[in-house]
Amino acid sequence: MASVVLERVCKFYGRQTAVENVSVAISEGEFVVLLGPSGCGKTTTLRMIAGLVEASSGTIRIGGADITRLPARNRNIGMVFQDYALFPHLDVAGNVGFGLRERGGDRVTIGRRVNQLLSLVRLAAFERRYPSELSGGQQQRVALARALACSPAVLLMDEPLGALDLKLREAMQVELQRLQRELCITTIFVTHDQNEAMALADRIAVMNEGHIEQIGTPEEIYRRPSSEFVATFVGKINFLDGTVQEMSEARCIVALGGGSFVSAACSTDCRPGNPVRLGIRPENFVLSPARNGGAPGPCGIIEQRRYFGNIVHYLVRGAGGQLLLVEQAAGSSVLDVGAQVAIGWREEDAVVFPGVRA
Amino acid sequence: MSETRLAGVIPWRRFLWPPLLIATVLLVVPHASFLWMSLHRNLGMGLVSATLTLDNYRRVLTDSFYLGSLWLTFRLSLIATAIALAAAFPTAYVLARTRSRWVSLLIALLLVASFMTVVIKALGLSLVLGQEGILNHFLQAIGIIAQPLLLLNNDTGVVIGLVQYTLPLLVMLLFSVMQTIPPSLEEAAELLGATRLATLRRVVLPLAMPSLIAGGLISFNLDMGAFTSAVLLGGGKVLTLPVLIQRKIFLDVDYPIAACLATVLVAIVFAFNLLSVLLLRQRRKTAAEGVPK
Repeated sequence: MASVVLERVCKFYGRQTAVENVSVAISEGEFVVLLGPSGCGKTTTLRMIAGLVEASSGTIRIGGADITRLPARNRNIGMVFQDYALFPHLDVAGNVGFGLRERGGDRVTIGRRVNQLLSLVRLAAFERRYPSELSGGQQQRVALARALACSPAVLLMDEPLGALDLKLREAMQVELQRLQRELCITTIFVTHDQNEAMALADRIAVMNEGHIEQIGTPEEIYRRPSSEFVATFVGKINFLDGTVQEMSEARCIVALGGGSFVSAACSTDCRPGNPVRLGIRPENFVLSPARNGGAPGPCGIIEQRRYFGNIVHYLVRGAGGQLLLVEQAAGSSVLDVGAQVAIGWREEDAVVFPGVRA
Repeated sequence: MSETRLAGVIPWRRFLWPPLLIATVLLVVPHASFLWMSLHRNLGMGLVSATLTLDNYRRVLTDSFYLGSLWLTFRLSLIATAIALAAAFPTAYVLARTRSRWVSLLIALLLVASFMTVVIKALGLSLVLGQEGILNHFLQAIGIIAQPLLLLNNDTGVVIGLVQYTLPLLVMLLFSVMQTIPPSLEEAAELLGATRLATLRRVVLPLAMPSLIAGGLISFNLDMGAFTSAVLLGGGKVLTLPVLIQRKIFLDVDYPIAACLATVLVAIVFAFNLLSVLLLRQRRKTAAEGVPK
C-alpha cells in the first residue's frame, strides 16, 4: 500500500502531446478513477505509472520514492489489462503464480499463495483450467488474482470491465469494490464509462485532451462540474444561455431568452452585460402547470414524453426555442404532451459557466 | 417437383474428381514409379531387369559410401535448420514488434527474394564467399584472419547455402505467428517482475514453439531434398543424397539405385517428421496431465 503522486507529468509522441502536465496526489488505499473519452490520455497516464511508457517529463512517486526512471519490473505494481493478457499456455495456477515464481519462491509457498488468491477472487476449483476454458468474467478474476499475487504497492486497471456484458460488469464492480476495501490497496482505474466511475471511485479525475479537467469525489464532479466538458461528459445536463442583468454580492440576475429572468450564484467574471451559461441537470428541474401572468420565470411546452416507470423524461421546448431534457419522479401525476409548463429549479442546482459572447 | 429438380443437380462430390485426378498423376504416380524402379536390377545402359529384387536396398543400407552420404545429408540439414531457426526467430520477433511502415516493405522484399530461383541466389553467395570474395577481403582487411577462409565447395558452403534457401520462408512463417502474440502478454510478464530474458523464455518462446517446430520441420525437409544449393555451393564435391541421386541418373545411368536412394530419402524424411509429431503429442499429453513442467 502506498501513495501515488504525479507531478507535472507529460508525454509527447513527436510533436503530438498525449499527456500534458498531469499532477495528482493519490493517498494510500484510495480508489481513483481516470475518466475520459478515448484519446484523452488516461491510458497513457496509467501506462506511465506502470512503467510501460516512459514519461517525457515530470515526476512519478510511489510511496514517496521517485520511480519515474525505474524499469516496470522493479516498480512492484499489479496491473489488469483491458484484454486481461493471461498467458494462454499456462493454466490458472501458472498464471497467478507467474510473478511469484519469477521472484523465486519455493513450490509449496507459491501453491499456498495461489490458492489463497484464487479463493479471494472466488475461483478456488479452477487452478488446472486454461484461460481458453474460462468465461470472460472468470478470466477477469484470474487477471485480478495474478495482479495481486506479489502484494503490489499499487493496483492499476485499464478498462478491465469493458469486455463484459452489463449484468456481469455490475457484479464485478461490486466484487472489485469489496476486494479493494478488504485489501485496502491503492487503486487507479481507467474507464470511459461514467457510471462505472461514479460507482467505484473515491475520487474521479476527469481527463480531456491530455490534461485533467477536474479531480473530485463523484458527488463534486456531478454537482459542481468545473467546466462544460465535465458537465456534459458526466451525466446529462441542459444549458441555458443568458446575460447578466444586475448583481449583488454573491448573486446575480440573469436574463434568459424569451424575456424571463432568474437569479443565480455568481461566477468569477460576473459583470452586468456579460454572457453566462447556466447548467442544470434534468432531474433538478421542477415542472408545474403554467400560470398566466405569474413570476417572470422560464416556461415551455412539453413536446415529448418517455415513461420509464420510476421516472419520466420530458422534452420541453423553452420560450427561447431550445429543447430541454427534464427528468421527474413518475409519482401519480404525469404531465401531457402539449401542456404549458413553468420551469423552475433551486438556485444552488444551477452551475454557472462563463458564456460565449455572441 | 423438388424431386425432379434434385435429380438434375450434380452431387458436389463429383467436383472433387478432377483435383483427385491431378493429385494422383502428379503426386502418386511419380512416387509409385520410382518405388517400382527401385525394385529392379540395373543392367547398364539404362536397362533394368524384369525380375524384382531387394538388392538395391541391401547395397544402399550396407555400403558405407551410401550410408555416409545419408548421414552427411541428415547432418547438414540439421545444422542448417538450427542456424536458420536461430536467425529467423529474433528477426521475425523484431519485425513483428516494430511499428513502422518499413516492416511491410521488408516482408514484401523477403517474399520476392524467396521467389527468386536458387541458382541466382547461390551465385550471389559464391561471389561473397569465394577466396577472393567480399567477405574474405573484408575479414583480411580488418585483420581478423590472415588466410582466406574456405567457405565454398565444402560442407560449410552447403550449410550456408541451405540456410539462405530456407531463411526467408522461416522469417515469414515466424513473423505471422509472432504477430498473433499480443504485446500485452510481455508487458504483463514485465510487470510481474520478469526480465526480458525471462519473458522470452517463459512467454514468447512457449507461445512460438509450435511454429518453431513446424518451421523447423519444413526447413529440414527442404534441406534434405535441396539439390541446387548443395550442388552449386558444394562445387559437386559435397555428395548429399540429392546430389548423389542426380549423379547416378545422369553420369552412371543407374536408374534403379537412384530410385532406391530417392525412396530411402523420402522414407527417412517421413519417419523423422512422424517421430517429431509423435514426440510432441506425447509431451503435450504429459503437460496436460499436470506432470511437472
